[in-house]
Amino acid sequence: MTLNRILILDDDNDIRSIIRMSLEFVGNYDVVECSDGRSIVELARETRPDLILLDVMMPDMDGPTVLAMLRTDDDTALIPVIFLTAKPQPSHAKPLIAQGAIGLLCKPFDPMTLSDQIQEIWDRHHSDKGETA
Amino acid sequence: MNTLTEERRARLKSLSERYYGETLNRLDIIRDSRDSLAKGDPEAFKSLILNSHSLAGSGASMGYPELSDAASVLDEALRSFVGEMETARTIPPDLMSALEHYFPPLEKVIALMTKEEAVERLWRSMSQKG
Repeated sequence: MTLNRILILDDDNDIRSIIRMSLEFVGNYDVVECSDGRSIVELARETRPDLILLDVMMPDMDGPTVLAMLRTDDDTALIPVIFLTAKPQPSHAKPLIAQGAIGLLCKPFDPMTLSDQIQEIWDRHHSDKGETA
Repeated sequence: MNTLTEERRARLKSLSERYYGETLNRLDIIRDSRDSLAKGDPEAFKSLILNSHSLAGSGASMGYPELSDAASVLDEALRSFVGEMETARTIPPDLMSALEHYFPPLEKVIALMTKEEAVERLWRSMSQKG
């Protein structure tokens, strides 16, 4: 399966912008932005992303809560999610992966390698599922 | 080879200039929040955490690793007070001490930033591939 469209959810405007530029300029992905966890299910239904990049720490609704919400909706339940966190220690990472995310990326990230990191997680996920890219 | 088109250059310039302004703004918010805490307002703690966390998570991606480093140290120090601050009616003296210790290095890093250099740093980091 090919990765084309990525939906970013992060409350920080600057982070969203640099992710967008990184994914568009370097990875040539189609990018959709969202700043509020409460509207992500509707936006995901409308835009049908292949993947969601989800910030863990947000002021109103944190990433794990958003992921749980996505999983309860038939239209968004199967969309793969990668968490974006500023706290990459194993004690924080394990529970996030256990929630059903396919991977974890750290902030701050290198804008030149972010696309490659995402593609690698995507390929590994589909390889584990026995699919070919 | 990743060639930057004029349109991309314009977007990078716009983003880096906005980031520079936003960083100064966050510094002001952190400073105001620190002052509010010193006057006994526990609500200011949330703003401190939010803004230091944001700078920690964004600085290096925008070409300022030293900004991420200084903000991360402050963020980590503040985070150790989260549990205590959930029920605090007064401000723990250790929290103010931590701020006195970890906030000035962040101020110094931001004081050295310029709008022109912010553009150049992001431009450089986004032009390096290939």
